[in-house]
Amino acid sequence: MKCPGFGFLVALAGAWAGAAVPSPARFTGQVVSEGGGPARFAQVRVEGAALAGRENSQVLQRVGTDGAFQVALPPGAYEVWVTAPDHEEATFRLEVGAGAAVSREVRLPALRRTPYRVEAVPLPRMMIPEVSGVAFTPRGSLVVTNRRGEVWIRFAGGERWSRLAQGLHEPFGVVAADETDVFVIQRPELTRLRDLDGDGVAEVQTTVADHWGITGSYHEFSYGLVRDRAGNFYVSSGLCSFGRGVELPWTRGPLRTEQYLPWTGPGAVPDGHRSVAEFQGWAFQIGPEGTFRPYASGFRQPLGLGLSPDDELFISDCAGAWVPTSVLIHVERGAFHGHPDSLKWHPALRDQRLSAADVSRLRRPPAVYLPRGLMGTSPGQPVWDQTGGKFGPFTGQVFLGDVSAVLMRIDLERVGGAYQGAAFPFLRGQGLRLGGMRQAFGPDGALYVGQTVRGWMPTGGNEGLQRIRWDGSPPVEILTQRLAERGFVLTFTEPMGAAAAEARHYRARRFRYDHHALDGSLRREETEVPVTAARRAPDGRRVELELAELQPGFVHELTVAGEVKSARGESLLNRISYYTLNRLTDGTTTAGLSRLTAAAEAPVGPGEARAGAELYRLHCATCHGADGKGSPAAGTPDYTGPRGIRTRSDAELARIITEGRLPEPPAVNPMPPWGNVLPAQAIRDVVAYLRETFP
Amino acid sequence: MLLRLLPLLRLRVSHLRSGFRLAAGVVPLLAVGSAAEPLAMPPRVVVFADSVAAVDAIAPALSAFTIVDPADEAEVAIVWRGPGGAGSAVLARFRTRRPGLVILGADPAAWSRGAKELSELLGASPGEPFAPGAAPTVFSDYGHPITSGVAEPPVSADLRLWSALAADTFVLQEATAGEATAPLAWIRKGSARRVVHLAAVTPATWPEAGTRRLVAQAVWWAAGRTVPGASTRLQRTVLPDAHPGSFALTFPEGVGACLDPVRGGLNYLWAGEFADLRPRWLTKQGAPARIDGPVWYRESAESAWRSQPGGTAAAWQFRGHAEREGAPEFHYLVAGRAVTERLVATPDGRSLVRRFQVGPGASPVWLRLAPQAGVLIEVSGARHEADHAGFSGEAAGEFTVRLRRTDGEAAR
Repeated sequence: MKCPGFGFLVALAGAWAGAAVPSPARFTGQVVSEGGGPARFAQVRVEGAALAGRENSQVLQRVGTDGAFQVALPPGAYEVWVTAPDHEEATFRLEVGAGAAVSREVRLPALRRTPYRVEAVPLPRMMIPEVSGVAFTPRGSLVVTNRRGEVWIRFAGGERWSRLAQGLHEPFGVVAADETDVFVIQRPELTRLRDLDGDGVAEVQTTVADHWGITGSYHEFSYGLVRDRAGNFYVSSGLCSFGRGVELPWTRGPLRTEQYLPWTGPGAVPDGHRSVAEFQGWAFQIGPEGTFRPYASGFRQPLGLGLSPDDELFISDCAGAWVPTSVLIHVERGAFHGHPDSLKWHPALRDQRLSAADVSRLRRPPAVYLPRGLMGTSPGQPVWDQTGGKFGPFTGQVFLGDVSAVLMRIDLERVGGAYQGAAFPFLRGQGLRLGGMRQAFGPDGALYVGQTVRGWMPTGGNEGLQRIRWDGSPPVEILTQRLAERGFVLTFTEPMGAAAAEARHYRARRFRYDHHALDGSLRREETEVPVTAARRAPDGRRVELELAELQPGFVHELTVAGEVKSARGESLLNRISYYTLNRLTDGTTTAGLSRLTAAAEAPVGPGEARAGAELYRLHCATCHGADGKGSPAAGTPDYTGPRGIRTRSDAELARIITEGRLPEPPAVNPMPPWGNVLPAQAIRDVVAYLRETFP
Repeated sequence: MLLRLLPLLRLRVSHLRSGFRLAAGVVPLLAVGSAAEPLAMPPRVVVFADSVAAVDAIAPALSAFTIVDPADEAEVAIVWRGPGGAGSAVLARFRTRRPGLVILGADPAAWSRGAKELSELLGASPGEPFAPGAAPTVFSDYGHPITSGVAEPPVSADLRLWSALAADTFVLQEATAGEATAPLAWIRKGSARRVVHLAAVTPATWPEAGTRRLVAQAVWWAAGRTVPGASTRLQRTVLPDAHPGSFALTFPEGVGACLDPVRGGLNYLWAGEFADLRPRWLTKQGAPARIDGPVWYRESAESAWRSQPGGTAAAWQFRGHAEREGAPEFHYLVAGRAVTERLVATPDGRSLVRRFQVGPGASPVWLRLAPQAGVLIEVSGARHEADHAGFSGEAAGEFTVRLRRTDGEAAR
């Protein structure tokens, strides 16, 4: 746990020295290719509740060239995904106890089940493959940007690449009018590149717009880039990670470091992302001649922008404070989407000091929630399949990449005048690399995915550009999930067998998220919603599901049993969906009385020191030190001795862990609250461990 | 202008007084720099190697240089793998006198004190073969004059992995193979040394044009000269003491400039030709880029353009940049007037010349100057008043500001 204020929990170094620290579980093994030998570039990803609080709540390990891996895990239950290029993903559940040693050989079959092939697109060897933007010219030339500031073009009809430009500042999106006229969003500006003599090198870089504020924060990006039919560009600016690199006088535009809605909870501000420079947390419209129009506000990290075939703007945002899980948002001019810090720059609201409740009322909800885990962690650019069937039967649907080697498919519908819809996993692993933040459909009908993780997680240099190509065989999928008066109507890509007509083969659950200042939200009011009827249409492609109850304001998770297969006996490629139900078909947006009972919160029992030891090692020891003496680097003081935990009750300790704590001078770093990260039981376990270790 | 030397058609080892050293007698000392254009004269070099065959192999690539002997006459020592036991003393003596050292494919076995000596010299530790059997898939080039124009770094299969690079090294090129990355070329630079290590140069790569170009350019740089043909490089990034998105302009003549498009001025000039962006790129929480020399001119953080001397900031807009005839050109809108700035470094690396073309307009434009010790500021074509350069004519015109380093320090 990061913070000096927590240091008092760690006392009595002598006692620590003599304490027995339970070992974490060791999960080891080897990833082998079905064809023989280790699977190259394999990755093992482990997700589970016990990893909450880790970056992206997961353990990600690159497998060595010999295929071996070794992961240390706290006791708990996990989902494990093992992926490698050109192989099917292996997924399995893993439960480990403290100190356990589990070994497993993971055999990855070659790709065969999905009709979608993931292929690497060769890039020039002189191009650092951190691809941050992908676009095609009308003639079909491929244009990519990378995070190192380069723009490359591969001319249509060949493999010739040329470096169109270099030296740009972290470009994160590109639109190519033609081979000689390319627009790039880089951190400080929207830039037009012109190759005047057609030699593949742009001689002129013209600033189109640079009206938004920037600081030196490491976590500050200008995202894009899309252009509508009228020639307007759309760009967004993320909040910056306040602290490092935000220095006067080196900030462009005014600097406002105070929070719009000051954190009034106990302890430190849970999420350090703030709108300190002008229009951070906004989307902009930039006219063809550079006219700058702030367009919509309330974003946290609006990583990906996309335009629907009707030129409607959609933006993906990344989970954190005021964004309970990652989302896809339909953005309309003037709308506010939830993060209040951006309101500092709102001409009408900046001085109004809205309350948290006001902010939530003002918020336009997302079209689709993307539940953390199965649906990734940080979504990228949404693109619409307008290939006319070259990419399969999903014409008109949205494809959305993610930093965690996930490709999602989204089926949107308008209900009561607003977009909502269902998110489906499409590819998980199956050869996808990490960092799929930028996408474009190519003239060949394939989906090109540009990948960069900019140092967020290890990739072994295995980023770059991939192409997802449909091989023409029909995928067995839920094609659409649409809201009906009493449930959902599913259409399938293939006629389905008889099992599809049985209600017992469908499981529906609903949950909602909290819109609050804490860093993300756990699922709330998770409730089983019985599927009371399933009616299959004669063509076998359409199934009407009736649910015991429909409530707006909830995400509805639908799981189709494995028994439901196509009439040809083929299994569904993906059997789960998340439908964000903002409105009922009659336009109702407020939940009514429910006849269903939410699952009871898991009972909290006495703390278990063994479990707490591992949590302490994972989350606390970095700052507080394994020896309990704090860490100068983290600014955590040495609280061993008289100010140790003996002076605190269990309840006090649990409260401090839950709510966080402001620093005690001379320390400067606050301890963040963990109550929204660790379940109550886990916090009790930590307290038990501390109590046992430092009596 | 380059003064071409007599071609070296064939070199032989004629003296073995100090190990295998490419020696004089083949080429007379014609090429000692002339008084008129000393900077354009190819450097005089001496070659150390641990075998006759190596010397024979390297010779053709050095035809542009004057090979001299004794070593005392040389400006740069080129060391092929290592000086060998016999050459160590001569090389050590050379290093006490001259800063320039270009080492090609250093091999600890060819140094009398082995890896320890190499580590001290190169600021890096030699290790095992790099990614044996795997060809690099990605090359990183960080834009130094030494690597200028090298389409793809030459790399042989027996590349060694160097690690633990010292803080004062600047990596110029890297190769990635599989999941591993190795430095291919790096420099160490100071008032008393200019060391280049081209780790990837091996007998296998020697025939490649890229190798020869790298070696030749390394020699020019190690001699403190401008690398012929190297171009000015522009990179927008986070620099120290500048708004984010500022330009690092690095001129091969040995002038580095931080051009800040927010305040519209040169935040500083430094003695160097390289901005190292690896600190920004290779970590999650990127640090500002590193510059490779001391700052010799600095402006304050205020807006550079004024409506009058000492007056309020003029309306300012950055409009972009272009490359014209190999030189960078920046476009601004100042008080409603189009202004184009072209920047040129002088060959001696002691001056930066800023040429401004001002479009027609009614408003005068004044560029704030920053007088300071050790810098001579000359203005032509405009008024020079109260530490400002002012252009007040309504018709289009141009003016020049020349910033010259006069502190007596070495230019580079």
